[in-house]
Amino acid sequence: MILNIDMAGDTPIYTQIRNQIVFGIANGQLLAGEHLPTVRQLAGDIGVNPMTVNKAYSLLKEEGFILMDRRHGAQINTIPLLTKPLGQEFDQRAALLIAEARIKGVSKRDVKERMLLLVDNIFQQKEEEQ
Amino acid sequence: MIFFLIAVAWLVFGTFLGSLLLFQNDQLNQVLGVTFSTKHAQHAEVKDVINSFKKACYLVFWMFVLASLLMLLPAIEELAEFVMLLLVMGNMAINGYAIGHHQRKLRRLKERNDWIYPTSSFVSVDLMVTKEQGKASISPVWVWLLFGLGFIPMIVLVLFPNKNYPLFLSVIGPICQLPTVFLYYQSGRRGIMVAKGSTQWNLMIAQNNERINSIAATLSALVLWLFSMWFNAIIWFALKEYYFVGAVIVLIAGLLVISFWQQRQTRKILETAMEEMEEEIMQEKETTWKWGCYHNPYDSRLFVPKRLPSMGWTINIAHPLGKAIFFGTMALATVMIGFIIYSGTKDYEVTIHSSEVVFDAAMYDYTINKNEVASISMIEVLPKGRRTSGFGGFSKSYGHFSLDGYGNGRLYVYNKVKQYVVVSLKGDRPSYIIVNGKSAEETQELHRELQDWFGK
Repeated sequence: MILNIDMAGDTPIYTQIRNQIVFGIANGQLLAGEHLPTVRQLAGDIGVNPMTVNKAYSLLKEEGFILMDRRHGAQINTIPLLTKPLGQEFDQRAALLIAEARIKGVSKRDVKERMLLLVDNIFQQKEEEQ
Repeated sequence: MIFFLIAVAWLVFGTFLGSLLLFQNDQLNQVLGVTFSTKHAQHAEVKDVINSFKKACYLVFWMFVLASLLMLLPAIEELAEFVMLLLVMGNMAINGYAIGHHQRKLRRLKERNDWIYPTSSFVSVDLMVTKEQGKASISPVWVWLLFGLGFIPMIVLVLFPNKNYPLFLSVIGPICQLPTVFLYYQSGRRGIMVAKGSTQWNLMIAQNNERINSIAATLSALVLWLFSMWFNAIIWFALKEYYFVGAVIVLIAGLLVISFWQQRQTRKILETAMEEMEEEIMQEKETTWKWGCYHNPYDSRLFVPKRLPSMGWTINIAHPLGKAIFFGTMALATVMIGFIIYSGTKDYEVTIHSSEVVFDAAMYDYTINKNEVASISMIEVLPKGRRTSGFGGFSKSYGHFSLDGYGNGRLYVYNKVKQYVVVSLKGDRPSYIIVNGKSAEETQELHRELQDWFGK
């Protein structure tokens, strides 16, 4: 899996790392049980402070996407996430995106179409990988 | 002495010429440090610029070789070391101008032909490649072993002290060896070339690069170790300067050959990979250079290949440690050049006071009291010996010396004047001071004045 980090972008680098790993898990590019590079290795290759990568990994661990182990490093979590996936947080984040789109003048139909397209993209990629 | 200076100057000019000509026409999409795609790099107009650059390099080399012969002129002879310094700096400046001039030509060529390449602030990292980092390098044991072996002269010196060889000089070997250890660990850091959807190729390129770079770093460590041993032997056995020139030639040639091999291997791998890939992965790299140095805050590497990779490695001045090394080196070079100019131009002054005499020279002042003096005499042949620290130019030699039959003492002499006043002292550090004037008459006058002072 390839991470593309925009060093000049507004999104913090740790958020970009976290988001792209989540996408990688969702679309099947990162499989359950797969090991991630060590904090130092990844920080070295991207060219950032190890603390940045550590922050991204800590976030992923807190959210249950990865497991951290002193001996084996970081690996994709094989156990289903404990938090309710379609709970209040999901609704809030999705609703916020839809609200922002509406304010910017996007029609209801366009929003629906785009959401479906994104859902299809992620589920389809995962199925292809499997 | 004059031939030694000329030989050193030729060595420097030859090194620059060799480094400039060893560059590859298309190395990692860089032609003379300007970004070109593989296809555009083969364009006839690009080739013309390269040929013009090669001719300029030869012209500069021969011009400076001829100019260095000016040092043989009696009028210039006395200023030989400054002339050599000026020629070396001039050679660097004109070569730099030739590079800049041809780079501007290449950039104009790109603009004229609309050869625009993507620029991006994106860094792409293949997680599979990152995970495998360090696994393809050859063992670090070798560079550490060579670093350890660098201490051999120090150990030998502690066990068998040698009057020719001050202990502090034996630290130079390990100090020179240490950067190769850094270079080895930096060799694991690969360039930022990642092809989308080709993990297999990314891994192949990265691992081969890692292997080649680590071998090059280890071989460089070996060459430096051999140089350090040779250098130590020169000091230990008090061999002539020509042996040192030989050692430097072997060192430079060795490092150039390693650099050339490293580039050729890297290019081969890239060419193989490029043949298999559908599109060329490249980015405009013009923005990563600042004040003629590599400046890329998005690149964590401290050591990077130079814009002309055959010229070796340089530092990333956007890296905090890189900044420190850059400014430290600049400061050191400025101080050293300043010291050479000041030392070479400042005349000695011998000031006689009622109870003491002050010998004034750049950084090597010394004052003696009348009660320290054993005798004052004159000699016409300076005994053989060696400088332990001080200045040894074409026209002047001063500082701490160890002379046969005299032991440790201080010299303040103009080399051309073959008369010397020897002030023998009662102690043994120093046990004498040898001084003369700018002419035989001045030396005799100085001898009289010192004897009068001593006799009073």
